[in-house]
Amino acid sequence: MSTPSPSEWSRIESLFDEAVGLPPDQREAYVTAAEQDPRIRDEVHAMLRADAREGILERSVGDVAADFVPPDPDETLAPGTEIPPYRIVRPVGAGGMGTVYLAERADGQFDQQVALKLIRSDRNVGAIRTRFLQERQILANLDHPNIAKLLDGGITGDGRPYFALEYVEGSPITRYADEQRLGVDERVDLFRKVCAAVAYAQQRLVVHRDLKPSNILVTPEGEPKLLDFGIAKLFDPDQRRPDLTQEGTSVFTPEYAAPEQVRGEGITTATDVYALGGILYELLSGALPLTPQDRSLVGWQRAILEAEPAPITRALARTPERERAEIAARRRLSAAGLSRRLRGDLTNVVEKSLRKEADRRYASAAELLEDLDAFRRGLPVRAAPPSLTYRARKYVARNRLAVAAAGAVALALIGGAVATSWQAQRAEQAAERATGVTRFLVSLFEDADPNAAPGREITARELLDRGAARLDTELVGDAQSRSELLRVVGGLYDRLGEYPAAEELHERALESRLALHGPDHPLVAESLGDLGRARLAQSRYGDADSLFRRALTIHEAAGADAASMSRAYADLGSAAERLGELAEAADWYERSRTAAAQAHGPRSAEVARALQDLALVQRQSGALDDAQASLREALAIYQEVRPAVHSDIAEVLHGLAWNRHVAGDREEAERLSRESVEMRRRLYPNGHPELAIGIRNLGTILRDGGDLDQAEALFRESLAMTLEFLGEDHVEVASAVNDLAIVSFIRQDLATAQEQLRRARALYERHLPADHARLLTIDGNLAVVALRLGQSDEAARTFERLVDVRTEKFGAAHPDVAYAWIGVGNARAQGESWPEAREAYERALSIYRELYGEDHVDTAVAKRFLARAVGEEGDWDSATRCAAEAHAFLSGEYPETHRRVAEAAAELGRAHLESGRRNEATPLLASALSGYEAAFGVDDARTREVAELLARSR
Amino acid sequence: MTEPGITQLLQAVGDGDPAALNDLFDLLYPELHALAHHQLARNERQTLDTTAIVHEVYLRFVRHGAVSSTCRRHFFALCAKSMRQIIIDHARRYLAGKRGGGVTHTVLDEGTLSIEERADELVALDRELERLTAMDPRLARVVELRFYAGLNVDEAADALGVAASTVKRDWRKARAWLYSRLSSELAE
Repeated sequence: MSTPSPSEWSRIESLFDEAVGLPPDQREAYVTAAEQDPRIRDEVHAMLRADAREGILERSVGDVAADFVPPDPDETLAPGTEIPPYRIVRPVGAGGMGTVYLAERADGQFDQQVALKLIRSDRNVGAIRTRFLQERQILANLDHPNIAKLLDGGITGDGRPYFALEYVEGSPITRYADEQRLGVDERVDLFRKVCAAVAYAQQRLVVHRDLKPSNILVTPEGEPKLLDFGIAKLFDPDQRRPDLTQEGTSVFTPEYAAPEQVRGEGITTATDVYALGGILYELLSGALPLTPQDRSLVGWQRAILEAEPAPITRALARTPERERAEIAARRRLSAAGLSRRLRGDLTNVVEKSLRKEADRRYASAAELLEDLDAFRRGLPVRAAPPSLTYRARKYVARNRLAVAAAGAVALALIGGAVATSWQAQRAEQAAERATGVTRFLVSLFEDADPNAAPGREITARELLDRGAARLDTELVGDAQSRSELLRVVGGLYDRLGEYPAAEELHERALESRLALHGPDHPLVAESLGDLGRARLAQSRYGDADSLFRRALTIHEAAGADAASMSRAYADLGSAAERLGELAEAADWYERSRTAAAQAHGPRSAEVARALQDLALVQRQSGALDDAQASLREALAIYQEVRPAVHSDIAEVLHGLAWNRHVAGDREEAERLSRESVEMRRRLYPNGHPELAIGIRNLGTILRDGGDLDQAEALFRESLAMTLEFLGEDHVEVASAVNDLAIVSFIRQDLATAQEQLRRARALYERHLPADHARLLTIDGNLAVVALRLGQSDEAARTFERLVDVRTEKFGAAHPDVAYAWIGVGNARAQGESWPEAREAYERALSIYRELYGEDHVDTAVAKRFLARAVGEEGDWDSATRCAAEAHAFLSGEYPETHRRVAEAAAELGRAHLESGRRNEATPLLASALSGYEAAFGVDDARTREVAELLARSR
Repeated sequence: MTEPGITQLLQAVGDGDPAALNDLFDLLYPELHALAHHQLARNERQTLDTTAIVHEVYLRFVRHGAVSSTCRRHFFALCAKSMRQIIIDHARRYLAGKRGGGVTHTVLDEGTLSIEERADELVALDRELERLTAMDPRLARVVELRFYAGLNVDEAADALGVAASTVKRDWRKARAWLYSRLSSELAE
């Protein structure tokens, strides 16, 4: 049959579709039965047989075609072809721009071999020529032993531009290093020569734009030579219109292209730094910084613009074991040895080079070189300070030594040392101190060599403990270094959530600094801040507050810079906020914002951060609109200073979502929260603790909206991620489990809820002080669940524990203590232990009386509870008086149908009934019943109890 | 700028300008061509990854966020066509050189086709694809996108503006049809 007609094809098509929907053994018979036309039938049969086959379409077209697509795009110029004054010897390579030939002088003037780069004819020749003429002098003046010299350039007879460059025989730098089995230091040294060459060119305002291993050849003598300097620029589209929409055939290589190149934004010296970072990454670890999984279009774009490259040590850890051993062997190290060598400074240097935002990278190759020089001399690298918080959080929080903790500690350490240099210290002294401190920490990690204790990982906590112990027993450099170390180790405990340990170290750092510098020194203020934050984390808000105030006084007296002031104000704001002094907190945050604007500019990330703090207070004060406005402003700032996808933006979106959630705007809350979570998913494709928190909050929004299934799925995802990143033994795990417990509770699956809450509590107990708010919350939850399960003793004990903790924390006369007493009373009442119940209610009542006086809702409610207990003990007259007082007050406060009035009416009714006054009881109970029905529904146990009372009364 | 850029051309194609389609093809073909060679030249294993090439060109030409989804569809459709053209050109050229020059050395691994047989197969596939285009253009486009441009099902669905399930169904049908044709040719 020749090609089917349209109607035949449509019949064939639909028969095929129908047939393949059937089990294979029924298909042929189906077609035979369904179709009369033998020609159509045969076609479909043939297709069904072909359906099971495999053939060319299952292969990659590249595999099929590679053999006959020759690697030279142009008609290759034959040897001997003359391009005056050169003569082609042979082709040596092909690139995106054209073909490269080995050529020699044809005029015999010099015995010189050159690399002749012949540009493809389909390029925009005219523009390239013009630009070449503009640039050639600059390029020709680049005279550096590690840069292949541009010798000449011109136009061939048929109008194609060519360049003649110094001919370099050698291997790409990565291959060379592997072939020569260069160790890590040797690789760094080789790479430093590359940096020096790039720095040389950059000082002459030439940016390479297309650095990659194949453009860096290493000669047999071991000298790197950079090719094609400045040539990429010649191919750029019209440079007089450097707007964002411009497009063109810029030359760069995706593996090493910086985000600004993909976006078509301005190219700077930092663009070369990015490519250098990528090359260094590869040189050290044998892996590329970005390896999008599916290499799909979206994958590449995301990778270049958004994906954070894995730290080199992690890239190494992810490599299959055998390959890893080979990579390490090419560096003359064991796999573990290589990982140790790379972690820390080198990881940080690479990270700083590869940042997405050009202004957060090294500004130039010279800066990168400085850090590598410092690394080789064992001095601290510059890469550390800006990323202190980020790194320490990201790595140390993992709670494993493994790869990361070492890097983070060294890093944090230097951060600490450098951060103090703003005051009158001389820079060298600071460096010296930092070096001493580094040495100390390095010695710590040598002990922590996993080979020394095979089969188990040392936790960051153990490592820190060891460090702290050594601080006690060994003389660590001078007293200043020692105080630095105390502070650094304290800060790390802080990040681990080990607040008591953090507090102790910060206390000692403070003492040490007081002794060294006297009470009015800025370093003392800094330590006061550290200590205050450690106490704040342990819910000792008052202590923290007074420390922060002392710090502020010192800063003010010393005339500290705006950045320090901003920090000090923010600290005070957070203490006031926790203390419930919301107006004061808002005031501090406002000041912090003003100072931040002064220090960092009005549209800076620091200002946005202060606005976020402020929003938190505004939300708690109920000023949702103000909070919304603050967050919107913060978002606007971040959108100016951050890339479109950034963790700060995700965080603000999350704040906005929570705001809408609190405002009861479920749809908008969900939308914003999803946006935030999606952004974090893109930022952290492999998961991240922040992402886990975002997912959890989305879950909470959905849960409160009643979508329990989705909420539970999200909570579980979040929990799994938390476990992966933070390990089983972490507070965040407890919070995630608590969320799941609430879902179980809403589903009335009380047994599961209880089990989950207990699991969460055990974790909290290990990590938080006994009086921490989270622990108290979960105890409250546990008690309520126990009560609902009818475990009155268990519930009573839990509430009693709450009473104890809260009394100690807040003093006896505090509403939270009274509330816990009510809980004790309810639990005892459920167990019908009336004397204990009465005692508990009496205590609650006396607290409320003391705090609020007689005429207050809480006082009345306590009386209502007390009435029942007093009555059940046998004194229904007193019960009647007590209930009557409660009812009278509450009736004045609320409409008759209100739950609180109904509850009081029920108790008063019960007291009348028990005292034999049915006439008085009946109307009260009838009115109570309708209130209960409205509040709890007809079938609720409480409603039924009132109904029974009413029946008895009638 | 003397030549109009890719984005403008894509826009024009989107606006229904048939001349723009030709211009676009002229612009893309050499670029893809060069990249294919470039990749072979730098790649030790000598394989051609058309997926990577198409994506690389996309990254170079059509910058982040600069194009609408309609433009992107045109772009991929054209890339797929260009890749197909490049490959078939080379297959034909190879066969011509081969048969003209009488060189017969081919390496035959067990289970793999000789280079010549592969080239033959590509030429045959191209011919059948041309016939399929006349009969059912969408099926042919799916084959171009999946096989020549190396897009996965989701990307192809995006490039065609149809559901992934449609692409899957079309692909299966197109495969079955083409194989049934190719086998009958071989039998002849």
